[in-house]
Amino acid sequence: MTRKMRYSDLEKLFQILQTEGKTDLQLSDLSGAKGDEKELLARISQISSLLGCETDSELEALLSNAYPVSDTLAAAKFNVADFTQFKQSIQEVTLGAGSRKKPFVIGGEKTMPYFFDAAMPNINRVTMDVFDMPVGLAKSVRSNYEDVLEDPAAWAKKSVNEFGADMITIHLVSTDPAIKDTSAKEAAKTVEEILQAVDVPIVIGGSGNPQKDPEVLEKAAEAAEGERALIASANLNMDYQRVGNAAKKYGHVILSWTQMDINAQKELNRKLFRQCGIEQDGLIMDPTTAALGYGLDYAYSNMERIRMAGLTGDAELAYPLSSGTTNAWGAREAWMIASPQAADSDWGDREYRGPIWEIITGMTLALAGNDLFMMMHPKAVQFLKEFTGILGNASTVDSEMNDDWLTEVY
Amino acid sequence: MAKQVSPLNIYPLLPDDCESLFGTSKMAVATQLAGKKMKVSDVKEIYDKLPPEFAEKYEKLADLLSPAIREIEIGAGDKKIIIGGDDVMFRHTLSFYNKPPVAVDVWDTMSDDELFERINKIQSFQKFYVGDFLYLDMIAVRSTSGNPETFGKCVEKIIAHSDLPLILCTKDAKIMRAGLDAADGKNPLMYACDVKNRKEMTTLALEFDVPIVITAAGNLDETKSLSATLQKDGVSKIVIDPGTASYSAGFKKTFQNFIKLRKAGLDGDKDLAFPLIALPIAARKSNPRANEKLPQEIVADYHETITASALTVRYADIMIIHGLGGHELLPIVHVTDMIYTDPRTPSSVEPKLYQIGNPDSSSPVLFTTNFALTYYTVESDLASAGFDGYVLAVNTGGLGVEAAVAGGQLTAEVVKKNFEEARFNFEETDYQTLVLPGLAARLQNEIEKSMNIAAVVGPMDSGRLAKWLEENWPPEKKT
Repeated sequence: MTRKMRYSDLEKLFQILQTEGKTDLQLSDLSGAKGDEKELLARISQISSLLGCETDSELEALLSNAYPVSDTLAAAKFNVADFTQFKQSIQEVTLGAGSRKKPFVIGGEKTMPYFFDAAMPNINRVTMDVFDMPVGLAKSVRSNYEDVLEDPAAWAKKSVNEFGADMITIHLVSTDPAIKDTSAKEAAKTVEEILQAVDVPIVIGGSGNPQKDPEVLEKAAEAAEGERALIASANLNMDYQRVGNAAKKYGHVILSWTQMDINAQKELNRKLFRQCGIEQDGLIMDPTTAALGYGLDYAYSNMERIRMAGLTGDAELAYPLSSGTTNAWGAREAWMIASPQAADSDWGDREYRGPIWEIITGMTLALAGNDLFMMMHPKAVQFLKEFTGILGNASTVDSEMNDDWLTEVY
Repeated sequence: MAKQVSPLNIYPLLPDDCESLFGTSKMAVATQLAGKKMKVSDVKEIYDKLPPEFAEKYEKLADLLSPAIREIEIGAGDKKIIIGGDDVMFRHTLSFYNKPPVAVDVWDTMSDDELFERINKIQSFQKFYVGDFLYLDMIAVRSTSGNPETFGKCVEKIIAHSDLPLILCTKDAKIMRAGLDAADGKNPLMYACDVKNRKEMTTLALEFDVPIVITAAGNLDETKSLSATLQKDGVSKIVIDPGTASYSAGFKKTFQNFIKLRKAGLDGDKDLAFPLIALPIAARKSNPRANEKLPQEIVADYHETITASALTVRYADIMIIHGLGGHELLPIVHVTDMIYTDPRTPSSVEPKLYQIGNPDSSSPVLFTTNFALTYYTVESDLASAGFDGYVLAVNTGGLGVEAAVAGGQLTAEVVKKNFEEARFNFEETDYQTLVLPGLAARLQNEIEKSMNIAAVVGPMDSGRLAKWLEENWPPEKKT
């Protein structure tokens, strides 16, 4: 049974307080209570509820005046300044020419990705991986390509027609002497097949063998002459000059690849421009992608530093960026059926865990400044394109910001 | 833009004899304070013992070093959380501070069983990472009943069952009061005060002395106005909701609001220099035009995860989510962790020989690098499988195995030298065999030659090490 705490009961309370000599309050002053008195009123309210009393309306009115609140909103106008430190735009680079029906441009940014003070001039693009031989793939990736693993041209077609690839990367992995040692000439044929199969721009990737790649990439570049492909890649541990020269000679763009080192990136870019005569609009940078949970924080900050250096005036770093987002599949969280750690909570279904690992790895780098994504899982490609598309769109869709979530039963 | 204090501004406020007081030079103290390696509260005790004129200097120092974005406390006791406290737009220019807590929702129309099961999931969630675990941090209680009493009871039950800090979510002041009464002394965060309920919510925030979120559905003028009004009325613990769009199509406005508000706050707008709350939970609805070949629930989880991750990168200081699947929680806890790791701290362990369990002369001997992530992964993979063994963390300057092999920091010579420095004698082991990481397979021959032992190549991922050892250890005796 709750008892009403009445206004008149207050007198009794104050008598007690007075006898203890702690506070001397006149009831008539309470309506204009301030400071300590407010505190006292709040205490009374608490005591009454502790004693199981409800407050009567007269007392409630008094209490509600304990914290005087402004009647009207203060007038205020939101203002924010642009990012004045960004003075230089990123170079625009066109990929695809010749028989490529769907060339596109990346780069051209004037501020950090999707910031409010300048529009994103070109949307992000995705190039999907194709291998020139069957390779080990995570189960949920593999299931999308079972029917084309033996046929790079069909694989490329499927990626463009069904999965919306803007570009195709042909990885000439079989050329590695430790794998199949396919000849450069053979590899060039594969490139020609890909060019026949699809009309989007292509990336020509080697096997990663620094001894063999210059020869392979040179032959492949020749086979794709005039198509403005991206040659992947030149790096400091190989004969980058031979690769750079081939890109220049046959009208391609060079991918300048370094390992998470902003100074090495500057050095390689400089060498490619000076020693190979690469044009300003003929270079894209790959500063290395590590998977979420496996050093993505380093990849992120390295990329953000490179992009900011470019925007603030470092002419040697003002070029578009590319990410090997596929590296996300190296993370055990992307492909293992369950955690090898006994103490971990349930990791859930890997069928859903893999694609989101690739999406978040890519999305994080999109926010650091990445322009071109090398990816594998169709669902990952779809979501990354959806979200970077929304962010990079020139106009803003003013979709609802409502309170539905507050009261909805999911 | 960014508030960064130079050591030279700090220098004049320090006592001269830093050597005896701090055990280091005056300039070193100034540098550490400027770089936030030392907190101003760390020097309070020393200042208190100094002559009276230093009281004023301490105040100046505290003012100079207070973060541009206010720090707000939520919760009480051991699990108390501090949010906000950032000074820069870009993490590499200093670091981001106070990792954003992740709150998961519950609602007051859940049955007791459902409620307790969900709370148990939230508070028991853990994901191993670099020698420690990543966790979920808070519970957000929503009032789906619309009834103050039901809400209050629900809050009571949660408090009886969990000590995680709370966010009370309702725009109805009567319901909020019931929640606050039930959570008295727990310092919950109120969500939220808008232009309609402002007076009642302001009163509650003052009466209960708890932090409060202000929200204006993405209207930035109104957001600033609310903040100014609440501050005038005596509320100082404010968190700002920039508004999170309910459909992915509106994500651009959400994203840019976060950037605008943080920049304005760092630029010195006192109305906006408060932590920001993200509501990935509101972004669960998919764009009606999207046609996914995925279950709707998974699409919702993906939208929520992408929103949470992107807003963590761009300035969310606290967030509320709904999904509890591994495919959602794992990415989210990793992203919040990595963006708030101090980029100036190299992630490495001491390069030395580590004993896992209680190894003896018949136990396997392995090596990995001193990159913290690599080392802790190997260590815990072995420990959780119940293996005893020796693991040498080779000094690669904190690089992982693959990168160190490619870059020449991990060679047979380096491995040999590190074992020698650890005074590990293979002659005293039964098998005189070293297990190589799969990613260092190419060092096998050279290690065998230069160290005069057997070298065997282990799996590519240490998650498979336990199984590999079962099948391959002990090896045949080296003759």
